[in-house]
Amino acid sequence: MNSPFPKNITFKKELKINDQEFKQLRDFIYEKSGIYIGDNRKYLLENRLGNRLKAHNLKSFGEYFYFLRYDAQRNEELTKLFEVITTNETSFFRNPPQIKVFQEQILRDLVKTKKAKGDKRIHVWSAGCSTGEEPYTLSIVLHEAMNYEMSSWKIKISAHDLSNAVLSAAKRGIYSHYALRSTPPEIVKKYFLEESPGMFRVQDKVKELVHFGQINLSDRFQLKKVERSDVIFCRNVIIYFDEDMKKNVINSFYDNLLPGGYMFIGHSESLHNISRAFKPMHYPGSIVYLKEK
Amino acid sequence: MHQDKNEIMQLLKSEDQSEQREGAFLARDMKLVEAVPYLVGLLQSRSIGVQEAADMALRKIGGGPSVSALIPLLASDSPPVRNLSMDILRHIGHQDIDALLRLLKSEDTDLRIFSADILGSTRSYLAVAPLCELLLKDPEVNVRYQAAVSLGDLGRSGATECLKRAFSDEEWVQYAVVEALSKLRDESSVKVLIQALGNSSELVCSMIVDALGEMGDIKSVPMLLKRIEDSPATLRNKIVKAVINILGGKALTFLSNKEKEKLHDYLLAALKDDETDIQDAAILGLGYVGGARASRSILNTAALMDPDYEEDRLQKVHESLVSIGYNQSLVEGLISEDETLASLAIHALGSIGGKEAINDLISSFALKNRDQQREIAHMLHDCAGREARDFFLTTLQQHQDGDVLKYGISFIGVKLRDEESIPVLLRFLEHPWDDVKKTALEAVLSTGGGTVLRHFQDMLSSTDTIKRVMAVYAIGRLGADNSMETLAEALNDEAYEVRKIALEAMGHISPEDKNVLHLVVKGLQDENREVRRSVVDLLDECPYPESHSYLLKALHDPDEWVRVRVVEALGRKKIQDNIPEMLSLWERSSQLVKIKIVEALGIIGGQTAFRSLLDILDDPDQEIQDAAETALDKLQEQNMEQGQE
Ligand SMILES: C[S@@+](CC[C@H](N)C(=O)[O-])C[C@H]1O[C@@H](n2cnc3c(N)ncnc32)[C@H](O)[C@@H]1O
Repeated sequence: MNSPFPKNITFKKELKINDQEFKQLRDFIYEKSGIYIGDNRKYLLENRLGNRLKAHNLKSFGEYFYFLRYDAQRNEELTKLFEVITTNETSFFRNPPQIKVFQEQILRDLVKTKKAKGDKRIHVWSAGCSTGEEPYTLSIVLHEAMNYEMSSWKIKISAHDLSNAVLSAAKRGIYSHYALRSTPPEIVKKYFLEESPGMFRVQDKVKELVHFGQINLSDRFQLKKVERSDVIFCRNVIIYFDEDMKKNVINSFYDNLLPGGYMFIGHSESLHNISRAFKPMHYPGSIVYLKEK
Repeated sequence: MHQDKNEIMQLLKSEDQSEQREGAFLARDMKLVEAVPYLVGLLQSRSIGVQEAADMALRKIGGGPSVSALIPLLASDSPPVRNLSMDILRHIGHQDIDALLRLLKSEDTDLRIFSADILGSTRSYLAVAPLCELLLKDPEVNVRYQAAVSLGDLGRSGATECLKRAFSDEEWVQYAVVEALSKLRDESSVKVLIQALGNSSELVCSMIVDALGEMGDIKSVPMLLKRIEDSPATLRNKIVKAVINILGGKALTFLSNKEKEKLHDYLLAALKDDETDIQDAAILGLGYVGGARASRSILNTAALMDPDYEEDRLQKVHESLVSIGYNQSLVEGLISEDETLASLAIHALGSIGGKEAINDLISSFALKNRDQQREIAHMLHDCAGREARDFFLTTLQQHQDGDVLKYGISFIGVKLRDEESIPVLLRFLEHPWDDVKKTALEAVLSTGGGTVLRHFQDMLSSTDTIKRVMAVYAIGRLGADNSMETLAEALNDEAYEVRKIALEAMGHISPEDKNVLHLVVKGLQDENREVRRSVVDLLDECPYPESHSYLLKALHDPDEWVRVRVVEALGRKKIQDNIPEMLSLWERSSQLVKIKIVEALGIIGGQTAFRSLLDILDDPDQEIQDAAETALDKLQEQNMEQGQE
């Protein structure tokens, strides 16, 4: 029986979250992920977690809290919980002006300075990479920019996310039309294989540059282990964090960047009240944050 | 993560910027007071990255030493350093007020301004008198201005008197005084502001009017109304807004007719003001002094609002329209092409209700697009009675939209309980969409009766599992005399969903029936764990001692959550004899089950439980120890209470 209908027919009462349960879960989620659920999102939590409770046949949110702390399956459940509370919305060439600035300005300058120094390594970090569209986009852009020189450089893109589920989708690298909605058709032709109608697989040469891994951005010590970067992309991720957490994450990025390195954050995000350490560089349609030498 | 203090100090003293930052972050995490002098030094670093790390650390460490170390930076020649230390001091200054008060006496004008500013953020009453003195006596106007601002930020009464005297100061200072008084929000500040309204410049008056409106003290209304006559249009609109904000619409009904008439004109004028909050006040006010002309003007204003971004405002429009009541302007709105207007009219008419409104809604239905038809169906569902029966029955025959159908089904079944229409409703149990099906199920169950019961009895033999689930559920809900036998049969159904719902249904019909017990315990051997959990739930609610032995058997269920439920149930039954059996589970249990056992022991109480809990205190698992401690505390508390009684 595939329909969810019979599960909704029950004599049991609707599940409501009470204030105490909400606070417990909120603190727990914050502790584990740095994501802060405001009071105004209580309803959302109730709504979205209701299905998790049903899946385990639990009677209350208090029990769910127990489950998350003590059950043998708690780690898998935590991953599910993260999936429920985060939004993984993303796409290839998301916000084209930013990608354009990366390709035509940042990358060009970077390659020039590196060449002058005889240093032919580039490390780009996509933090909060979701299902992989962003790091693969960066890989495509690097291929486009480096062209025939590609083989003489050592280029690496590290891509991290909190959620294991999105990471396994990312590693698979198969996408629908929808994910490619802002990708120029000639790029699709050049870097994807249409495996079945409407389903596209990224080519191996695009995949080769990208290394995926799980990370929790709220853990300063995990971030310290990431190789130092020339450019960091952390777009549409810090929106989930409260101010303290934003400050910590951005400061960790600052420490990770090589002097002269650049950081991209989401188009609608800002560092106002979060950090003054970067120099904002204004380019057409986008701001890029520079760590000065 | 534990770091050696010396190591941190070495990092802070390093020349390397990333080491300095790392030192600052570690000092922050440890709240290392010894690091303060170095951090203050780093605050003056040329690297903003280093400054920022030191800044974050100093805020977290705080305390007297940090305050004292930061104060000298206020005199720095570098504006960024000055601003940074100001900002940190606003955050931590309350931890050493005296040091800041001393600074108020400085010869340097800037330092007096800075310290007054910081004191404003301390929330300390100790700062009130010194700031008052500064406000009245300082020779520098900018210092006096800041003193007034800070008195407002402090928000402590006791400052009113000196603020009042400061009205004789320059207009620049008066601005800050008005703002400060409005933040104090006490009765005496209202009085001071009202007095000042009589003899202030137009600009100051306009600030006072806004302030009085915010403060909402009813005593200011007469004076405001007096000023309205001889004020220019912009100030007049502001006064209208203030008065409405203070009185709320309701009190307007107490005004004399003549006053109301005058206000009506002022309100209509204010509706055209550029500022949205003035418009909103007018909308609210018109809701009480009303009339068709008011409804039309409100609708015209609302037509310009953006439904996506101004939902709150449209809600206020709705309330006002409802409060004015039925009139021709609403009917015109209903048939308007403009979607916002039409939607407002639909909702207003629906909330107002009554024969005329209902007829208007029904006759406009056919002319509307799908979204508005949904709205109309929704409103009629809520406001109409039998007079809308034929309308909904026709709609159920002709319409395709799921939402419209659900309103119709629910109206006929739940609201009217119209037995004659049962055949119509039963058809919707076959509808392809789950939500429509579910609404139909609820509707026929609300109506009830023999036809319905027979329909579901027939459905029991369907080959479709969903239908059998529905049927069992329905029979449980209807609770007819012989349904127990039917449900007992359903316990043997091949689909576990049916078996599970049958158990729930039995519990629903007769939780106290002893026979049920014998019927259901077979389910403890069911292959499906959800079914077994449902049996345990039933046993949990069962008041007869027979249930205990079954629960004890279920203690050894292969599914962990079944065992959890059993332990919980045994706890609630509070039977001391069950403890040994429960404890026999201990060695093989997961942390979760162990914690549940501990909690159950805490509820059951008595010698055995108490002693077992003491033993558990030695468990190697910290969380289990903690749980045992909590349980013991609870038991001891109970003992004390019982002792006192
Ligand atoms: C909206 S997606 C953004 C994807 C991509 N950067 C883009 O802009 O299209 C946000 C991602 O951040 C991840 N995320 C949220 N909190 C995180 C945390 N504490 N650590 C690591 N990743 C996190 C989520 O799992 C999600 O995949």
